[in-house]
Order: sequence, then structure tokens, then C-alpha cells
Amino acid sequence: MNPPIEESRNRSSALTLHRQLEKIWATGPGWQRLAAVNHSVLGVRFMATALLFFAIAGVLGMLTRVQLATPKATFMDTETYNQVFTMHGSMMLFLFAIPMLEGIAVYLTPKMLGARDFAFPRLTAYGYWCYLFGGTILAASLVAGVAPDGGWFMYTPLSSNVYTPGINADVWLLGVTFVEISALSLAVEMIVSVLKMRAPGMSLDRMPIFGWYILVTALMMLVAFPPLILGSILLETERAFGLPFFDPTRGGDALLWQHLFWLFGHPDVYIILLPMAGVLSTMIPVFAGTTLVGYRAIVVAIIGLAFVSFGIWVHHMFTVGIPHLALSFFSAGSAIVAVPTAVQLFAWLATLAHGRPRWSVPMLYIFGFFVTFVIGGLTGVMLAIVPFDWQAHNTYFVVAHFHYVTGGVVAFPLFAALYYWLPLLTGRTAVYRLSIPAFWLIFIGFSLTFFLMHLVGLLGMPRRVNTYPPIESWTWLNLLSSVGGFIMTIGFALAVIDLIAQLRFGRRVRRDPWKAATLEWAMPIPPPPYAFASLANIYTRADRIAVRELAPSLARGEGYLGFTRNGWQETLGVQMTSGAPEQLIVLPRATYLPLITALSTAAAVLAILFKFYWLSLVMALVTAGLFVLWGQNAGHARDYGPLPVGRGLSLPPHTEVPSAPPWWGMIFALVADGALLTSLAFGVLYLWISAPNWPPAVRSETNLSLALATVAGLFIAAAGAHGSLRSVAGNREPRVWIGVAAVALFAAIAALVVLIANVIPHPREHALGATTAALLAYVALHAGIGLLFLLSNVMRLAGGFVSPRRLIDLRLTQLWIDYTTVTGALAIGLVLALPALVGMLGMRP
Amino acid sequence: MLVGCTGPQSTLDPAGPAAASIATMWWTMLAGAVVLFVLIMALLILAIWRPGWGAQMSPARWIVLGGLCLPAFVLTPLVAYALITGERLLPRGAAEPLRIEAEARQWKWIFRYPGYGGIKTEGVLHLPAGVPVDVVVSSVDVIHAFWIPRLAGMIDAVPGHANLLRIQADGPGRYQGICNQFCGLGHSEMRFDVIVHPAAEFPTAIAQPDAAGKTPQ
Amino acid sequence: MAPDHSEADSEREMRNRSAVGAPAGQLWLLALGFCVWGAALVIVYVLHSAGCAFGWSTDALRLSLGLAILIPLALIGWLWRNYAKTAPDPALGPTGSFLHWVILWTLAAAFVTVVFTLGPAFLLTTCI
Repeated sequence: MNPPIEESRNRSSALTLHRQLEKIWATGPGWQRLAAVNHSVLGVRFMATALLFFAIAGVLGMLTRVQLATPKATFMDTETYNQVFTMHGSMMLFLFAIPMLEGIAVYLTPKMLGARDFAFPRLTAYGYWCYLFGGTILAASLVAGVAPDGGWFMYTPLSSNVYTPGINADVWLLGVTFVEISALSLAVEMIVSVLKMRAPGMSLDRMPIFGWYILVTALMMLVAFPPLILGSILLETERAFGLPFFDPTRGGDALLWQHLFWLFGHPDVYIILLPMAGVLSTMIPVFAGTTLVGYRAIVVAIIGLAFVSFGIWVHHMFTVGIPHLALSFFSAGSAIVAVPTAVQLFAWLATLAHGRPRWSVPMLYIFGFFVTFVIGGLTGVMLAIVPFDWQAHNTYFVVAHFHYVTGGVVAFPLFAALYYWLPLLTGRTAVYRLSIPAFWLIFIGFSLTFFLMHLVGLLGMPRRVNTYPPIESWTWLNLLSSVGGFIMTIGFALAVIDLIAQLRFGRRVRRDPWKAATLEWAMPIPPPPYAFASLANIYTRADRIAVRELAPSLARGEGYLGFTRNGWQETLGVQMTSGAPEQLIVLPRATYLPLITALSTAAAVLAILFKFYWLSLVMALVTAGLFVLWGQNAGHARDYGPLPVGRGLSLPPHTEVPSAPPWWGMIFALVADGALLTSLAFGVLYLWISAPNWPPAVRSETNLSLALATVAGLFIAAAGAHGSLRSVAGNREPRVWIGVAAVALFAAIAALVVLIANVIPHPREHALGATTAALLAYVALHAGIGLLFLLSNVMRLAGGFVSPRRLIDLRLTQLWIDYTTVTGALAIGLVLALPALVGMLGMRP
Repeated sequence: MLVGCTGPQSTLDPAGPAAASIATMWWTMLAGAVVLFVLIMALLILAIWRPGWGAQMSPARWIVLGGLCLPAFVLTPLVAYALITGERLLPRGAAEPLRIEAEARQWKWIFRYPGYGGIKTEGVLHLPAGVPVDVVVSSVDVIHAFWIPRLAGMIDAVPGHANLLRIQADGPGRYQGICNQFCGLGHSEMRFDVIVHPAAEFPTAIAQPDAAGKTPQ
Repeated sequence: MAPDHSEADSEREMRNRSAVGAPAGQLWLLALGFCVWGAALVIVYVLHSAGCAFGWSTDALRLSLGLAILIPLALIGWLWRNYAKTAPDPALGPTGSFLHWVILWTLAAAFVTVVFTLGPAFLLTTCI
């Protein structure tokens, strides 16, 4: 064995493999960049766009500081100021924080898990375009002077069209919903990818902790975003069509909005926190030179955190008049939620204590995180205390608190992460001349700006005021805060310049600049579009990887899938718990469909915004049709049986396996859908028990026969879907069953339309009618989408994509129709029960 | 207390029992927070600057002591203290307190005194000193909030609901009340004066023609 | 760590493949304890709202709140005891032990959360 020949043979095999994979996985140049579905490309897009919005939102924040630097300033008039502060908050939370962590998750997760891409690449692309378009609508409104001006949480009735007649509130409702839908689709994808698309051998306990953080975050997103989406839909229909969900004079309740909003809003902040904590859990061990301590404890902690965060939303509503006993659950919960956070904090401290910490720029920012986040967490516990909150709510004390926690756990770890991972993206490390002064300016500026706000809040300064009386203490505190803001801005600008300078002038690095032990470093720098030339076999915890040995081995094709076949984009699917390789996943290649579908969605959204409701309906149907089109070329048009995947293993393609990604994707999408329905049912019952002006003057009634006919139709449709599945599995003709299901769904929809048209009381007159109509409309919408599924099934059957081994299309339809049937029965049951519930109201004292 | 804490709207310059008990609670929590902050920073600095210092204590012990025992030890008494204080601030007790109605609208406050005929004041709230007063707060349009920081915590004015807040001023004087829930263009200016009279003089004070008042500049 | 050699490889292959039959259903157990807590929170909150709205007597209200707290508590306790008595699934290897530990501690955490967040309902004044 002559080493030079061996090596050059290895190098040439690695090069050949690289070229073959590159041809298949690379996104084309020029206009073809718009068709990209690759996670590395899209991850960078998400992060870059998010940073742009961060800059815009930061400037908006600075504008408020200029206005507030002196009392009675006339820098901005009140209307402009209201738009500026609303957009500062809305942009920071919806257009920066969530998308930024999505970008980090999209870019890093497949790499850390040893996979080549995400489960639904076209969905990632669609998610990005929806984010970009939604964000553009919001940003454009600023330029046009019609930006939302009701605060980032848009309380009703201020945001109803009586008190906000212009399109400002509609911009918020539609723009934010547009972005949230993108976030939901990404959440589904992240869950399926983390559970199913890991390197073989990566069991759940070998997964890098970052994987657990992303999994839990994405599951939270599934349940947290639907209440906001529902609330936004209800408020938008209230504004557009005069429905009374939040109007107390017609049986609605302003507080319903708050419940729905904060059911989203509180978990949202932990959704933002967890991925950044995951980033910290990944970086801290590297700079301590040891492995993360307390892996299992952290997993328990983040599961607990995820659940408890859903049970404390009322701490944003301590002053609305809820009885003290009810508040106590949320106060105690808001206190105990500090425990999982403390577990993580002490796991990090223990990791540092058990290692040999070394200095670096990321560590500097991690230090900044510790100082800032601990203060933010402490003030958070203070605000959990009800009597104290009764004096601090809506003051600058709260503003200080939430800037400390978000600055602490988002801004500082973000810059640490950028310094840490940019070398992976770019192949260059920072030179550090600017980095250190930039950090200190940010840290000192941040502290000066926001620390003083605790004090001015306790001195009684409320938030969201564009000016204040010339109280001496407030004056100098505000002035110093504003000065601090400028220092902080200069610091951020320097840091950004430093990072950009790194791109051009940084020191080149070939591999693993930080001596890390996670899989994202086991690939060429910058990462190729296929990430891994071959997939690793994992037999240790994936934060103890011997990167320097593994990387060349994978590049030579010694892992799984170290070859190309049929021009397919291939990666492996594994069993959820054990990580045993289970299926060969073939991913869709670059396509313009996601962009076109996002444009169509944007058209529907804009049509509602400008009140062209029929056009919006048309565009919504076009969008639905485009989604049917997505399904047409996916998968395979023939059975393959097990195919070789390398290392002596053969696995069936995902089209021929029961546990395929689309199946799980549908299940998790239905979880989110169910959360939406649950929020609606909660809304109905909440209004029933708490809203003024119940019962309505008119007795409500629903045509029982039509209601039962609807439910029967849904059950028949479900039977049809099951029948079609059994037919194909038994090699018989399924189209009769599909026809039966379609007819049954049509009948159900027709019955629902009649029911909705005859709702008593009229939906515009009383919230009882409006919520009844909403429940029925939910069922009708789902039945309609069921028809689209059936249509797609027929097309796919014709195209040869369905066989007794390839059943995923029919299984998805069956799942959807089953869901529609069960939820339809529940929703209609609730509608039928409402008159009895309303009757009970007579028993109130 | 510290001179820097006084001010017309300062929660740290209490002039009533509710605000006083909350201010005491604040100082207690501040002391605790400072101790915890110093503790955690000390651990961090020691872990970074003295490698190996914390290595004798096992990782499990770090996490159990810091992540479970410390929060339990701090949060349990804190939440108990919080709930007891909250109970004490509730509007209940044997004597029938004076009721005043506060109606919020964009962008002014109207106060009615049901026990005193049809008297109505705008922008000025009159209170008797040293006795509990139950303020019934509501709104005719959007959500506002009723807040006199030196006397008590705040309560929202929600259209369609009537919320009850018990307040009490220690002694006569003038105080500042504001709307503390963003309510549109006039939010920053939506304030009201609070004039506290000796309890015996209260009925005559509000019957005066100049008591009606107007929204202050 | 030395790079893979083929025999050690196929041995690990076998180890991976022997775990193929592992039930993914165990993962739901990770969520079960806290789902019971969540349900308890909702039920208690709804009971208090309904009881106050419909003018139930303080005793009736307190009793119903108490049951709504004690029953979920007993349920989580029973789940914990039940699960603690079973050993980790040997077919799952170290993953099984990991899941077993995490599930037990999550159940314990859920138990403590019920006590801490809902316990005050036994002592505080209702309806105001």
C-alpha cells in the first residue's frame, strides 16, 4: 500500500462523488435561485432577511428613544409615534425573532443530525417566501404611513374598525397571519425532520441536545400559533363583515382577544428562548472543552418548560378584573417556570466548572447573556407576583424586563452564534480588532438603556406614551436611556461591520476552528448543498464526534449513500426512537412552485386587505389548486422494493413505507388544526360564560335534520376514504369509493352552507350567531379541502403513483377525512348543545 | 426611603396602605434578587476564572442544588407571601365602604358619587382620607386602566364589565391618577387629579360648585 | 476515536437493526404527565368561573375545586408508581434507560407542578 497513491485515489473518489452530488443538489444560477429548496440556501435567506428586519426595527426603537429623550418633545406627532412603537415591537417579534431562530434551525438542524436536508424542502421554500411577502406588506405600510398603530398586541376594542377605521389594523392582522402560517409550516417540518431524518444509529439519547430543543420548540409552535391565527381571523372578519366577536354590545368580549392573544403570546417567548438556549447548550461545552453536563436533566427541563409555558398566559392579564383565586394559578405557574430555566442555567455553570473555559468572542457574548438574562429572569419572577404586577403592569418596569430577557437570551447568544458558525458558512474566522469594542459598546449601551427603565417604571412612567410631564427624575432617566440607546446602536453597527469584514478579510480556516464535536463540522467548509457526501453511522452521542477523522471518511463515500442514483436527492429516514435506518427518502428538487404558490397566497391576502373579497376567494382557490399541483410529481410512479443504500444495507423508498415523512407531517399539521378548533370552542364557551349581553334576545335554533345529515355525510365520506384505501391495498378499483366520498362531502358542504345561511341569531347581531357560524364554517372548509384531497387522489391514480405498496396518497386523504368527521361531529354537537347552554344562563343569580 | 424615589406617580412613595404593602414587597424582592444575582455571577466568574474550582461537586449535585433546591427555597415563600398580600388587598371586610364610579372614555375620566345624589366630576376624583373606598371602574369605549400609583395598584376599565378596586389614602393631599392602558391618540394626556379631603369634610367638599373640575392641562 | 473498520461496523449495524421493533408509542408518555396537569388547570379554571357565575355555594365550589385537583394528582401519582415499577425495555438498550429516566422525572415534575400551581385554590377566597 503506497500511501501517496492511496491518498490520491481517495481524493479523486471524494472529488468524483462531490461532483456527482453537486450536480444533483446544487441550486441553479441566476433566476433559478428563486427555485431553491435547499436548506442551506434557505437558512441563510431566513437569517439575512431577519437581520434586515432587526435593523429596521432597531431604528424604529431608536426613533422612540429620540422622542422620549426629553419631555414634551415634538420630534414625532402622536399618530406617527403610535405606528413607530407598534411596528418596533411587531417587527422585532414576528419578523426578526421567530424567523431568525427558524433560519438557525433550518440551516443547522439537518447538519447536526447528520441528514442531507429537511423533510419537505418545498415547504421550507414556501415558508420563506410567505415570510418575505408578509414582512414586506408590514414594512411597506410604514412607508405608506398606514402602519398598525394599536400596540404590538392590538387589544380590542381599540383595534376594531370603530376605533381604528383605517387599514392599519388589517395590515397587522393579515401580515402577521401570513408570516405565522409560514412559521407553522416550518414547525411541522422541523418536528418530522428531527424525529425521522437523523443519521443512522442516532437514537434519541444520542441526538445532540440542539435536536431536542428544536423538537420541543416546533411542537410548541404547533399549539401556540393557532390561537393567534384564530384570533386574527375573528378580528379581521369582525372588521370586514361586522361580526361581533369582541364587541361587548353584541355579546362579544374584548377580553376574548386577550386570552387568545396571550395563549399564543406567552408560549411565543419560550419558543424564542428555547432555540437560543439550544445554541448555548451547543457552544458552552465547546468553549469549556468538555461535553455538556446534565443532558437528561435538560431534556426533562425543556419538556416541563414547554408545557408550563402554556399554563401562565394570564400573567399578562393580572389587571383585567379576573378573581384573585383564578390569578393564583397563573402566578404560581409563572414562578415555577423559573425552575426549568434554572436547571439549564446550572447545567451550563456545571459544564463550565467541570471543564477548562477558554476565551473567545462567542464566550464574551455568552458572558453578556448570563448577566443580562439572569437580571431579566429575576424581574420576571417579580412580575409573576400579582400585587407587585398591579403596580408595575404597563409601566417601563415591564419594558425593562422583556428587553432584558430578549436581549439576554436572543441578542447576545445570536451574536455569539454568528461568530461561532460564520466560519462554517464562509470559511473565515474573525480577526477580533473590532469585535471586542463592539461587544462592550453593545453591553454597556444595552445596560444603560434598559436598566434605568426599571427605575423610571417604578416611579410611575407608563409605556406607550409619546411624551411625559416634566417630572425631574423621569427626565434625566429617559435622557440617559436614550444616550445608552445610541451607544448600543453604535455597538451593533460595529458588530455587523465586523462580521461583514470577516467575510472578506477574515483568516481562512479549513476545518473545525473551534475543536467542536458536532456533525455540522464534519463537512467541507463552506458546506456543499448536499451537506454530507455520505451519511455517518452514529454510535456515540452526537456531541462527541471525532470530526477530524469522520469528515474525510464521509467525503470519500464511506458512509451510507456514498453514491448517486437516478439523479435523485437521497437521504435516509430512521425509526424515531432508536435511530435504526428504515427508509430511503427521496426529496423533491428545485422548483418554482413554492414561489408561485406564495405569490398566489400573497395575492389572496392583499385582496382582503384592499377589500376585494371575491378576488380573494378566487386567489384562495387558485392557491389550493397549486397545492394540489405540488402533490402531483412527488414520490415515484412505480414500485421499487428495497434499494441498496450502502454498507450492505437495503431499504425501501419512503413511498413504500408506512411511517413516511408525509404521514407524520399530516399528523402534526392536524395537531395544529386541532389546536385551532380547540381555541374556537374555548372562545365560544368563554363568551357564553363571561361576555356581557348574554343570552341574546332571540332564541337560537339549528335545524336538527340538516345537522345530522351533515354528520352522516361526513361519516359516509370517511367510509369512502377507508374503502378506497382497502381497495387499492387489495388490488381492486378504488374510484367508486372515492366517488362515494366526494358525493358525501358535497352533500355535507351543501347542508352546512344552508345551516350557516340560517343561523339564528344572525351572525351580525350577536356573538352567539357569529361563533355558531364560525364552527360550521370550520367544518365546511375542512370538507372542501377533503374534496381537494380526493381530486388529487384521482389524478395520482391516473398517473400511476398509487399501488398496493404506495398508499401514502390515500392514507393522507383518509386521515384528513377522519379528522374532518370527528371534528365535524364535535363542532356540530357543540352547536346543537348551545341553546341548552344558553338556557342555563337563566340560572345565574 | 431614598430621596430619588419620590414623585407624583411614584409607586415607591406610597400614600395609602395598598401601595405601602406593595412597596414593602418590592424592597424585599429587590434584596432577594440582588443576593441571587451576586450568587450566580460569583459562580460564573469562579467557574471561568478558576478552572477546576467547581469540579469537586458532581454535575448532578450542581443541577439539583442550583436548579431545584434553590428555586424551591426561594419561590415557595415568595409565592406564599404574594398570595397572602393579594388576599389582604381584596375588597372584602365587614364595613360597607364608600362606592365611587369611575367611567373611562377616550380621553377623559368621569366620576360619580352614588351616595351623594347625582354629583359628577370630570377629571378630578375626590376621596375621603383614612377610609376604604371601592371604585367601580368601567369604560364606554375601549379598554383603559384606572391607576393612582401612590395609593394602590391599577385595574382595567373594560367595556361591558365593571371592575372593583379598593383604594385608601392615608391622609389629605393631592395625588395623580392616570390611564395606564394604551387607548389611542389621547392616551398620554388621559390623566386625572385626586384630591383627598379629611373624612369629615368630604360630603361638603364634593358639594362645592368648583369641585366638578376639568381635565388638567 | 479511530475511524470505522468493517467488522466493528457490521456489529453496530446489527445492534441498530435489532432495535428496529422499538415502539415509538413510548414518546407519548413523555407528554402524559404534563397533559394531565394542563387538563387539571383548565378544569379548575372553568369550574371556578362557572361556579362563580352560577352562584354556587362556597362549600360546593371548594369541594369541586378540590376534587378537580386531587383526582389528577392521584392519576399522575399512579402513573409514576406504575411506570417506576417497570424496568426499561431491554430491546431499546441505553435509549430505553434514557427514556425511562426522562419519563419518570417528567411525571414527578408534573406532580409537583400540580401541587404548586393549583394548591392555592384550597386556601384562597373564591370569586373576588
